[in-house]
Amino acid sequence: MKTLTRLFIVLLFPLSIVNAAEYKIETVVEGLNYPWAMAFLPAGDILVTERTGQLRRIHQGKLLPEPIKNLPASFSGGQGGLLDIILDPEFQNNQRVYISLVARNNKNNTLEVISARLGDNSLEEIKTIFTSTAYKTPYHFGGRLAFLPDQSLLITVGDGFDYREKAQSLDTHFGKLIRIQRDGTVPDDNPFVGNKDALPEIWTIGHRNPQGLLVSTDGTVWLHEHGPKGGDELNKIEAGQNYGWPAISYGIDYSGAYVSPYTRAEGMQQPIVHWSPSIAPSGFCEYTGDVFPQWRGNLFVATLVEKSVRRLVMEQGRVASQEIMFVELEQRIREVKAGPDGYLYLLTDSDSGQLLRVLPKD
Amino acid sequence: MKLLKLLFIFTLAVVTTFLLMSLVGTQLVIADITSFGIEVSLADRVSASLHDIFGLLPILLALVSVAQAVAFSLASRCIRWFAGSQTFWYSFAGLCSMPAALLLIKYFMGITIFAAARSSLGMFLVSLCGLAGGWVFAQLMQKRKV
Repeated sequence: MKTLTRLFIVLLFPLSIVNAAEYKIETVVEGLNYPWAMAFLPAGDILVTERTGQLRRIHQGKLLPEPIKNLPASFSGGQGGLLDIILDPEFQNNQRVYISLVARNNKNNTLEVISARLGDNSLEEIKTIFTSTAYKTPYHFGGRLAFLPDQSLLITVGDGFDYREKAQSLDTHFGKLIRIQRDGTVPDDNPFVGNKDALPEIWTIGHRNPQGLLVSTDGTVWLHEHGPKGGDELNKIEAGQNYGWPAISYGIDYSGAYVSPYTRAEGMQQPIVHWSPSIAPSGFCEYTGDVFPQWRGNLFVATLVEKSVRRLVMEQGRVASQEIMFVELEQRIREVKAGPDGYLYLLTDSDSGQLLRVLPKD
Repeated sequence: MKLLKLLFIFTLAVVTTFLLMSLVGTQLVIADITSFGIEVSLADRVSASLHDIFGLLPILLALVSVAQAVAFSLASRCIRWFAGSQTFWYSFAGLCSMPAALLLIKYFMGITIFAAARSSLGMFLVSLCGLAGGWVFAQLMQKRKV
């Protein structure tokens, strides 16, 4: 059945399943408990979040046994837990990191983003800079972070699964892309500032569960999101736009019913690419290194269900072709990042997750 | 023969509930779509309804079958223990069957698998669909004297 599905995909799209001829994969560390995201420190260490609530440090290729201290508790039920981590654009000067996590607010759960200074093996000066609308759900938190060139912070928030219609309303954070400053204040030029019916931190609306967010070197904002049964999307983001969920969708509900009978509507943006059947896109990066010159400028999408990484070859803002990579691992890939050393790094999604490094075969 | 008759009646009751739930589900989802400012034509409503009947068939029909098998079994015990009319007990069992099944799934999985039942109105209408199935079951049981 898997082979048939891949054959179907290959026949339909300009896509190929790449073999391992041009690279080899080595394990950096293993024994990570559902790793979710990673950040490369200037001195060569790597920080890894584990969804189950620990922030780990990899020093000189070894996983330090003690997790980083002072991390606030997170709710790790369902898809919740400790999620993304990124460094401040001025990390060299201020040692600050930004972390998204699912926190519990009485009976409800909420996505929070904290800012903290990274000490030797602990977080200091912790400040909560964003708290999403609280809701009772264990699913669809979004949680990806990225900085725009102007150093404002983008945050993806999911639709909470049972609250999908709220992705179209401006008075909640469900199904939105949020933009705030590093101190948590709202930038004056956000698109809904001044609209009394809207939350001013909203940047775009109509998302389902965005778990891929990238500001590419040319300043383009890319976001990918999980669809329901089919309809995973890659979107090119523009401030103030509506990306359609759940008014339009290329996927159907898990029950088999329509989410919407429509795939297009006036005033709603179309995805650059949609994937049906679902590949479950998670992490996201642009390759800018020198080790694989043939990959430079390509976007890489980690996938959970397809157990692969998709290499997207971009031409003039469009996906010209796609390659399915690393299927030989037979692992759910949660995150893909291009390291400062030019290698590609992967996090596998399991209770014995690994950090893998992709390097040239020769 | 009696068992076959019972199975036939049960199937009719389940199909009644399933078809009504499917139609209610489609119309509630379309109501949400129209609330976003998208006009939905009658033709699109009809084709969406047909799509959902076939789309929901594997999962929802199985769910209704299990929920109502349990509910009607309990109702038959209640008729023996507490007396009262078959119409009341089977209709009541039908009324409770789908909310009970959906809430049980929500308790264990954290999500509502039938989207229309996420709202109070949706859950109320889904309960009425179950009631209709229970009522059909009771009428046919009395008519066929199973």
